[in-house]
Amino acid sequence: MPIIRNGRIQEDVWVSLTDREAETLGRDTPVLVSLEEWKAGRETLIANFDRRAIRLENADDVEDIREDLADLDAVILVFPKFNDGRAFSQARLLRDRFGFKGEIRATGHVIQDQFLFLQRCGVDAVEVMDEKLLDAWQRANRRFKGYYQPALDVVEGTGRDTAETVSSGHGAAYARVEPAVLASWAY
Amino acid sequence: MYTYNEFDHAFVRDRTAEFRDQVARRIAGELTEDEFKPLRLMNGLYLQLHAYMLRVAIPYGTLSARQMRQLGYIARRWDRNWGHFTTRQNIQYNWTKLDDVPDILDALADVEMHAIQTSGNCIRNVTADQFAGVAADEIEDSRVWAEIMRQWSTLHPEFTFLPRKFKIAITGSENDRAAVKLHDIGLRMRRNDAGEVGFEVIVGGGQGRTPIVGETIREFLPKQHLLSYLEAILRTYNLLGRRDNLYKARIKILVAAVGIEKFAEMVEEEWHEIKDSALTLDAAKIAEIERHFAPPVYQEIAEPVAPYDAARFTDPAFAAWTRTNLFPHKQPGYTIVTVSLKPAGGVPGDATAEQMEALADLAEKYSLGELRIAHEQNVVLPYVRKQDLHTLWQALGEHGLADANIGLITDIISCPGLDYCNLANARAIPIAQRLSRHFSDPALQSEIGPITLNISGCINACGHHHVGNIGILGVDKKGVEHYQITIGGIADENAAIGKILGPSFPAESVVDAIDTLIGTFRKIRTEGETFIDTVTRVGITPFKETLYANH
Amino acid sequence: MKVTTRVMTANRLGDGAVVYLAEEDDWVLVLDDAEVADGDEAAAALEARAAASAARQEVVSTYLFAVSVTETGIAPVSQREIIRAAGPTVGTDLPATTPLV
Repeated sequence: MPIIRNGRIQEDVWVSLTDREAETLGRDTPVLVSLEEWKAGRETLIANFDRRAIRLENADDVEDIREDLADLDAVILVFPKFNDGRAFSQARLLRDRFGFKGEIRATGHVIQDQFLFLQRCGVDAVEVMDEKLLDAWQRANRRFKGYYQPALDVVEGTGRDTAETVSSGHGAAYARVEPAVLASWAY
Repeated sequence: MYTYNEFDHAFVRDRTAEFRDQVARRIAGELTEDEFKPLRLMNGLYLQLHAYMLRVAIPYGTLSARQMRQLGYIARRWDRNWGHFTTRQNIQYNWTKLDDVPDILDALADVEMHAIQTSGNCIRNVTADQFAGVAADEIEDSRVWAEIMRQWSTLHPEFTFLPRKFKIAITGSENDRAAVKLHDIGLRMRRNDAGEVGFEVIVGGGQGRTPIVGETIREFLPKQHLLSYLEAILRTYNLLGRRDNLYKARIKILVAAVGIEKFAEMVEEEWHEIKDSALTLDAAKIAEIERHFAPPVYQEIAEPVAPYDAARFTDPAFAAWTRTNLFPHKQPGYTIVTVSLKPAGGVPGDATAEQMEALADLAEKYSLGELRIAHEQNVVLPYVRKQDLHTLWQALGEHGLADANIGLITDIISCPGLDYCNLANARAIPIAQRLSRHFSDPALQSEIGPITLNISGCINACGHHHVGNIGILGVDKKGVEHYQITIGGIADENAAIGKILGPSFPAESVVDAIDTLIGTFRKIRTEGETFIDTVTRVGITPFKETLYANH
Repeated sequence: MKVTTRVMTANRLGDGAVVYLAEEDDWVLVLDDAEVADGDEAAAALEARAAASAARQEVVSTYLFAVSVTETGIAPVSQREIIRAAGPTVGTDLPATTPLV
């Protein structure tokens, strides 16, 4: 399914290791593993592949990868159902507390009415059913002129990114809004 | 009271526009009902037994006369001429149309109101003591903090898809009038040994199918850390609260599962990480909100107020009303009036459009243009001069609003029950009506004395039956409405869950059953004892024995 | 005696009104005008038609409920459906003395 990131539609580059034997893949293959696989094969994965992503289920504790974030290019969070909101806290911790600069992607059952919340929790990519949702993703952060609580605020991608630069991550596009408690006072 | 600034205005308008767009997408089929449901719920829109029901927030129960008038206008224009005030300081319109709701939200925005987060698995309308800012017994005005929490919780990006709904209540007094121990988070303002004001933080309380009295996880939280502490609790809950079972998803179940000490430890650990973040409230920010709740300019009025005392002397019906419906005010010469929405045979909490407009007019004339909604489903006029009371009481009488029964047996809390609600198992309103008619004699009510009688039409307990001195719960027994009776429940600072007396009764026996309980109480009470005092002293057995001996 | 006769109900999407499925996929406001399904097969047919209507964004919250058919008309079996069909038994717009059934 298409991915929205950096203000445009992209292909999903990550190759799930569970689908293939690791030996058949070149070191330039962007690989995707589960938390279990990461824990079991961390050293080998770092040695054999240049780009690595991890998929976290929503019961997984993000603390488990806190020390490993420098070795990861992307964290993929899962919504089994759109109203299961654990990934919002996972994203917030990864981006805000752990300072993760890579891609944080939301996958699974995500609806467009959640785009703003995702962005404000530090999610910078989303897997969508329909490319038309790009517009909704870009508009999400423009509906309101400000917010009532401090969170992460997205600076929209330029859309100029090429596939080559994708792996560098775009976490820096997210600025911590501070101080923004009771943003209404700023007006 | 709080007045919106430009930002608030724009925000609520933008939110309404968003909902208008969501409604259009739903009607066009771009959103399925499954996807639309949580979105409409987050704007207070339910699909009830007969129609769409819109629940509008009355944050911390405070309303201006203009807002009350607008609530009446909405009832006239888009509903069937009345509204229902709920146990969580909301008003519900029972007959709204989906197509009209965006317009209703716009009409609310015109007067700085909204329906944001009055339902859904998010942080709900924050409730507070209805006497905040005026009660003689309070430490500080809790509305300042309720407003800060209202703002912080509005469209919180992280806590909008929680495992289950989340209710916060705050009281600024030692005497808890906001049932804070029965909320997911309860806050009680208190003074520490150094004389500073902060919060006692209580978590894991709640009613519903598993009633639990909340426990304190922090004895004293300095004011400036309120939001970071709340965020620590919410984050812990969001990540660890159960999502596999609707009935086990509230924070009280998580707290019970891990234990209060362990839960407190987890919260403190999380709090430690964010304690000194952007969430810290500096003195200037607090002062900015406090400014909105600055006391009005009071007149200097010498007590006693002679015309008031004279009217009490010459008009016994007025005197009776002043004995039940007034509460001591901070300011000499002023009083707090509770206007009863519990006429004998009426629907608890219902007010017609005409009554809402009349209340708005009277608030303008006699209460500095301000009103409150109590969780007991009554209306409060918080700034009444004692010399105006007699005239006010007469005017209230013209609109059927002068019942002298606050805190008495006919001041019944009742949910809408099976007459309106999709979840109910039995009707609640007809039971309330029969009881209030049965006990309508003022002398009898006065003789029985202070008591709370609460009725819920199902185990979700919107009618607070678990914490009524007498609680009545509607159940479905083989397709027939039955009612289970509990006694000993308390909603205040001594919160307790009532005990079930025995098998349930069919509808036609409920009045008799309650009459038997009251008869037993009158027989065994000692001089000056209230119903709950007697239950506390003797336990439930004497009540149980007479109740089931007669039935 | 097991009740085998059932009626399909829903709320109209736009105004929320309680409606019942009648012939020719018409949704009607009056229970007596509803189509009654006798037996599981007929009930399944109503369910399929209701689902199709819901998919066309006409109604929401579709479900079947038991009724008894008498000479005077169609009567719901459960208290809930009796109230849903007839409206609240009490209320601010109704006489306060409406008897409890």
